[in-house]
Amino acid sequence: MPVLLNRQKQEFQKFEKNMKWFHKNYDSLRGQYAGEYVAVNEDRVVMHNRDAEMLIRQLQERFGDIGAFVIEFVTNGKFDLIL
Amino acid sequence: MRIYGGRGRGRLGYVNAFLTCSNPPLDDPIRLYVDTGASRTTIADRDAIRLGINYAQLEESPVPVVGIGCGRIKSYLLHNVFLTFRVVGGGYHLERLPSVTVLKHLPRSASELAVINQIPSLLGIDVLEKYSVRFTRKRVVLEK
Repeated sequence: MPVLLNRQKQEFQKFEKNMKWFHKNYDSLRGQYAGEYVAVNEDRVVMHNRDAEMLIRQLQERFGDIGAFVIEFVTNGKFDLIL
Repeated sequence: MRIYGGRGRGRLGYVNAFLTCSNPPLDDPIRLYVDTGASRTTIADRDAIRLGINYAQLEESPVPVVGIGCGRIKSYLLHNVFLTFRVVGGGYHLERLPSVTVLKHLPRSASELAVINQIPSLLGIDVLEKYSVRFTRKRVVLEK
C-alpha cells in the first residue's frame, strides 16, 4: 500500500496552505481578478488569465511542477453551484 | 477517525486529498467537493489538465455520465487510484478506489468552456458511504 513520501507530504501541505489563503483572501481577489482564473502559491497570486487551460500551460512552462498550486476562478458575482 | 474539510463556493463542503495512481503515473494534491449526489469520485476537466492527465491513455467509460446541466460530455476511467487524506490529530488515511471518473466536456463555445472550467472535482458516494458526513459553520467533517 503506498504511503506518502516526504516530498508528497510537503507538496500536500503547501497545497492546503494555498487553498486556505485563497479562501481567506477571496473577497479582495474579487476586486482585482474578477472573471479570471488565478494561480495561488506561497501566499500570493503568481499568475492569472481568463483562459484556464492557457493559464495551466503557462504555469507548467514557467514553474514545471505545479502540484501545490491552487488554480481557481474568481467570480464577478454570486451564483449557485448545483452539481 | 476524522477528516476536516472547508466550506467553499456556494457554502459547499470540500476536502483536500493527495491523489496517486501508478498507471498513468499521477501524484498531486486535489480539492474534491463533497457530493453525495455523485455516484463516483470524479476528476473535472480543469483538474485533469492540471494533473497532466492524457485522455488517450485512459479507457473510455462504458457508462454514460448524466448530471444536472449536463451538456456534451465524454467520461473516462482512471483505475487503482489512492486518495490520501489528512486526519485530525495527525497522520493520514488512505482510500483505495478501483476507479475514478475523469470528465471531458465537449464545449460548443468559449462561454460554455468558461463554465465547464469552473466545475470542481467531486468526492462521490463511493467514498462517502464509508463515512458519516456533517457540516459546521466553517467545516465539513467526515467521520468513521
